[in-house]
Amino acid sequence: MSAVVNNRIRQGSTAVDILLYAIALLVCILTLYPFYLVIIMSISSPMEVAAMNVFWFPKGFFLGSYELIVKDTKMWWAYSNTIIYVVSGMLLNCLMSILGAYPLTARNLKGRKWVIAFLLIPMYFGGGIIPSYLLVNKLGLYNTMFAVIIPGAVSIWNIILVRTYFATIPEAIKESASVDGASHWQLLFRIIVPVSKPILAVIAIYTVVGIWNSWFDALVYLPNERLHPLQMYLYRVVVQQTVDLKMLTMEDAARASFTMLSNIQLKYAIIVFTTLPVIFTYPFFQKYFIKGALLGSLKE
Amino acid sequence: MGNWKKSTLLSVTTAVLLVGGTACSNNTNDAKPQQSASSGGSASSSSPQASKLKLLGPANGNKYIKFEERDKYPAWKEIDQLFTGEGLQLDYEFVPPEQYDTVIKTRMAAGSSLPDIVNISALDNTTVLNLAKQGVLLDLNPLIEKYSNGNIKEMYGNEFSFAKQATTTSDGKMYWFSNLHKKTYQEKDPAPVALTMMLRKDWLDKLSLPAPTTAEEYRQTLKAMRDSDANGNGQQDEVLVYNPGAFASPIAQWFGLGTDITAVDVETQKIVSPWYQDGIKDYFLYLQQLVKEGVLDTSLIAAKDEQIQQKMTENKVASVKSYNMEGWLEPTIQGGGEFQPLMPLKAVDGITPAAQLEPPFLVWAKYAITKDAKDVEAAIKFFDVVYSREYADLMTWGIEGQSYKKEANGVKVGINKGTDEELAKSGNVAAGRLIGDTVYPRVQFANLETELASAPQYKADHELNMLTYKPYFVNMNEIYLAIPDEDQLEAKTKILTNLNTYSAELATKLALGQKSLDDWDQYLEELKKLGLDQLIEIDQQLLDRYNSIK
Repeated sequence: MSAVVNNRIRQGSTAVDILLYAIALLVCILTLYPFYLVIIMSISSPMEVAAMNVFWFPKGFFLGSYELIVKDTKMWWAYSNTIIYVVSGMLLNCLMSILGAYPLTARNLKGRKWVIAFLLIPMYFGGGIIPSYLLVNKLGLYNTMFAVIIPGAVSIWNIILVRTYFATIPEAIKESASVDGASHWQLLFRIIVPVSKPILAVIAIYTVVGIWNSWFDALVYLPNERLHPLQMYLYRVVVQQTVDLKMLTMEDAARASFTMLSNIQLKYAIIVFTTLPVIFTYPFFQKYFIKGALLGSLKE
Repeated sequence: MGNWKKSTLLSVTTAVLLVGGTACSNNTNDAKPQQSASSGGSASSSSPQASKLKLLGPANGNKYIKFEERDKYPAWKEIDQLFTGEGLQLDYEFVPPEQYDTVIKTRMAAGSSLPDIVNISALDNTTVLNLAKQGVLLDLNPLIEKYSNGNIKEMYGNEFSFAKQATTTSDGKMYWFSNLHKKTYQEKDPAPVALTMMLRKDWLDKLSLPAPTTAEEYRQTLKAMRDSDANGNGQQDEVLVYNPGAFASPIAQWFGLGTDITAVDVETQKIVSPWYQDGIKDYFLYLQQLVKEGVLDTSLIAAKDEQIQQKMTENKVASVKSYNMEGWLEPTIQGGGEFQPLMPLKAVDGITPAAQLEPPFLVWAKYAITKDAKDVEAAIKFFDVVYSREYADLMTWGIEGQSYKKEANGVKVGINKGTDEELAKSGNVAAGRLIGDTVYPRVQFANLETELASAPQYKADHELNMLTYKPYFVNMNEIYLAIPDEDQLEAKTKILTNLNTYSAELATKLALGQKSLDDWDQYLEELKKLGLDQLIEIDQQLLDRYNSIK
């Protein structure tokens, strides 16, 4: 009897609950504080931010950086470009993943294993930046939006995810559709795709987040500023701010110094501006993320 | 089912439309007009004989003074006329500056679809010489001989003879043109600018301290500022910002040391290394004292500019290295402040303190003609315009009465020293601010008078005192060295990779007292093992060759 009582005390201990809640709260604070800090820095006086005096509350309330960003046409160009890249990239990725995955689920496809092996190679070995540049250039994609959209349209990882999901659909459903006279296209788009909504949502979110955060392809393939995505805009501010004053002549050092100071605070405003849309979409798609993580663990 | 069919079809159609739409809009409206802009009015409608040139370079990156709005700048219109007058039709490809390194490295390495003229300043000498070897870049000497109207030779031969020395390879070839800069005082004397230790003048006044005249007094002053809480925040946090890992720091020169692992002694035309110079041990002993007393902020050793700026804004920096006539530190100090430049301070008996100077003659940046240039004659014509006196005046000074005025003695002095935003509104800027360092080389006949006019008296006086100060070392040793040949380049690269790291680490540890000066011979042995002597020998050969090029 006494053992049971002890056990009950241990399981329902208020002290332990408080401790666990405290740890959870601490982890929450540690996770959220950097976001909060960036937000309050973005609305504090540039001088206070440069002096690193801002910790808990905004100091010297200042919205000038947001004004500068909102008035900057380059930022809006970058924003609209990112939306174009995200939407078209996401749709193409879903389509290519479906079309790539479906044949790989057909058991009677000859050489299926070879095709899968062939697909796996580029997952581990890339051509390198110069061959990729040559390819993009020869295809006439250099300095066009296609240079960012087309190379990213096919993701082997997504194809494997979709294929794994397709493989879980009972064979009986496919067979019955075939018996009823459905062609492969009908089977794919009328039967398989509708029941695969969860996996399509997962790859859609992966793609959206990936493209939203990407900047390297634009750095290499898009010298035209008007085609830059939002992250390149952010990159520009951060890099300009970390200019090496020691390498400049006196005249250049003076100019770079002023730019650096004004950019120290500006970068926080830009981070908020570029990150918030994605942060707000996260809670709505959280369940799909978990699903995606589980699917990723099931490779045949 | 029906709904899914529709939505799938809709998705596919949207994707195709979007991609098609974006691509079309890019090809027709967005990319090309932005990406490449032909030179202004008259060039576009030039005669049928107009020679077309494609130019690739970084954009100027200024938020306000933008190349796209060039037509509103009078200085640009004059420059444009110089080129159109020569029948050149220029097609620009500008890349944002922070992206340019990646773009130019990729494109030059790929070696295809190159422009006629390209800014390759982002490439190091090894890469450039390799490209030249592969035939991607053209040797300019025969082209100059054949096509130049004489402007290039005049500039490189007479006005800026050091440019030829700095850009001629070991086999006598020249693969790039450069930015050229000459600063004079009273139109004749070379005018170097000094890099010195700056000390808080307002704190000296507040504490009634005299400006230090020796290194020891400097140390005492810094200590007094700290002990007396000069910034008045209740804490002893007034610090010296100093990086002992690099010798290009004025305190090192007080001990007679060169500005890099190997440095050019301009007076004797010898290569020296601070590791072998007399004052080296005293220098580290001195730094150890600064560290021990808590005056030298060790957390800022090798710190990024942003971290130093933070300390500056917090009003905690008592002393820091900078240009003697700088005016950009003070506005960033919370509550205000003033920095006073110090003359080289005597530190050790028997050693005359040296100064650190930015040379009055500079040659930097690289502009090359590529193998894909279809009309090399036009490309040389472009550089003939660039190396003309008119172009240089417009780049440095702009238009008289708008961006500069002439004093009674005929000396030019810059005017309209507003912010970039104000200057962009008025349009009264020298062309260098608008197009310099892009695809247009900077050719500058600058003078000291303009800088003296805008500096406080005590900074101006310091600069005038430094004009003839000796001995001195320069902050850019490499401009006195000829371009290494292949073997020298390979050897230097190999040596410097490890030697730089070891030297910086050793110097820092010695300054912090983490390594003992008693083991000096052992350190020298290690430096020699890493190739210090060989490096000195190679640099001496380069310096000799630099001096032998006529």
